[in-house]
Amino acid sequence: MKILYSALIPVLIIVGWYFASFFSIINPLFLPSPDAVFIRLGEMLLSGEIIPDALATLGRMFVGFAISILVGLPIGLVMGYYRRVYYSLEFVVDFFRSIPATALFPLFLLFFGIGDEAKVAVVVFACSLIIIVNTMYGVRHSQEGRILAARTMRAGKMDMFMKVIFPGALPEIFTGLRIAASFSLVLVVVTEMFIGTSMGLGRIIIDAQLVYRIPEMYAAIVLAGVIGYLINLGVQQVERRVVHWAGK
Amino acid sequence: MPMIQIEKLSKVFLQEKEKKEKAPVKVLNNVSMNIEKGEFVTFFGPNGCGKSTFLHLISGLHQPTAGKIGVNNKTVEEAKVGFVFQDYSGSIFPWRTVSGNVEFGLEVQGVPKEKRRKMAREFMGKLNLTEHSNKYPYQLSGGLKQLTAIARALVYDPDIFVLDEPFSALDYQTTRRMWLELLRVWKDLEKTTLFVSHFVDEAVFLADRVVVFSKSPARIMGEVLVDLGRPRKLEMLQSRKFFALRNRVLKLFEEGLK
Ligand SMILES: Nc1ncnc2c1ncn2[C@@H]1O[C@H](COP(=O)(O)OP(=O)(O)OP(=O)(O)O)[C@@H](O)[C@H]1O
Ligand SMILES: [Mg+2]
Repeated sequence: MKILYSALIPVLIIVGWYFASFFSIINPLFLPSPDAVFIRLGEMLLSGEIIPDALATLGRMFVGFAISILVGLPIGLVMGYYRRVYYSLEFVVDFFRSIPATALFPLFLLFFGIGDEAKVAVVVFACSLIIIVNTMYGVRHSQEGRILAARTMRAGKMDMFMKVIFPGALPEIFTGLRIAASFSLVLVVVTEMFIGTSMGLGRIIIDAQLVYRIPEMYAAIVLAGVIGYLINLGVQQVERRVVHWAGK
Repeated sequence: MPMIQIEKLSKVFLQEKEKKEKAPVKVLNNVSMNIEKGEFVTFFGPNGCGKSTFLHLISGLHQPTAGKIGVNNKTVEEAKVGFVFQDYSGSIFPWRTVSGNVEFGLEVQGVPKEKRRKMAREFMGKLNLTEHSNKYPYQLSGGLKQLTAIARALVYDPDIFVLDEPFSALDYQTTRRMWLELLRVWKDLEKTTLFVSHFVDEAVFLADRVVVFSKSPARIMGEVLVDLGRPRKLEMLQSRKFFALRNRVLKLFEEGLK
């Protein structure tokens, strides 16, 4: 039943796509027929030619995401816990959060060159901010009642933080992780397209686009979409396990 | 020497007003009383008069503006308190099982793992929670959650046992069952117990002594000694004597509203 509903809209989109290409509503130069795209994707997967690109993209994404957690989580926790740190950093965080990381490409190129470092740095810049903000609110939204209860049991500062405030913040931390995971993939693909690389789904997209191999371009886009979906699913599974108690 | 000695206790809060200046609000007004070891005292008074604040002061969660409290010849900060809150959903730890919740106090007080397991098991037994010990709070009814909170508050042998309207979110039938459970463990452990209620039947049924507060700022309007005999039985709720005691409490309450 649930699967039926989940599949409904994707199926409709693909049917609509067929319909549009069959009746030539959209110029195939902009949107080729789905068979052309899926056949090309199948070829690229079977021959294995797209695998190194997909792995390169995934690798950058995971490194960027992991560093974002290492940077974002501690800063978010400290900002949420200490009012003074919050007031000192609030402006900077909200300011940089409003800037699209992709607009700062020149700056990243200047500091990190055109290699993987620049792409990872873009991911870390944007995703650690997402994690910081969610973690911070998770801490700030701590249930007053639980803190009071722990105080009546004479919990020390460290226990209060590790056993009351941090677990209480986990649901919001996971919201941040889920958003950051999806976003990190998008950013890697975009940086691969615009900073350039020899390997990566973004490279396939931009190369295919330049020489009008449009089905190939869409094949890489579809694959990026599928990978993004699976990553989100993965984070959700972990989330469901760790914070199974949230919102109940 | 009484277990709890309260002398001329007053509390003034500085409250944020709309125009950002802080206005002092007096919540407790010169409250003095003694509570004997093992006594069960209930507190009854109008909404917002300062009952919770009173319990928070006795538990060392807030500092009094004036006056003194001694618990078992110690300061309130040194005394061990078992506190049960009205809002069980917001005060027990949803990420811990029943036994994890019960162990919390022992854990932060540094009791080794094996020992606290054993003590938690003993108290879950006392409160008939054994079969639920591995469940999470979201798998429990409100009554069981509050029994978990009670076990959590009693397991580390506190000097005083404090409950702030613990049953007011439960239905009447469950509440009556909770009264009997609570009285059973109270008798078993002989804990000095302070219980705030907004329900006059509850205040009378449980208590050795009902203390009635006036409207805010709370002062003590008077006390009613409850000589109903123990163990208390639910039939007593319908007795003439109960009715008379209840009316005496209500009379003090009415006077306190003026
Ligand atoms: N931390 C605080 N800061 C400022 N004002 C407070 C604080 N805590 C309580 N008050 C105020 O003190 C007054 C008494 O509050 P308290 O919660 O002690 O009353 P209560 O008798 O327990 O009320 P209720 O019947 O709602 O449980 C209220 O006016 C409340 O707004
Ligand atoms: Mg209250």
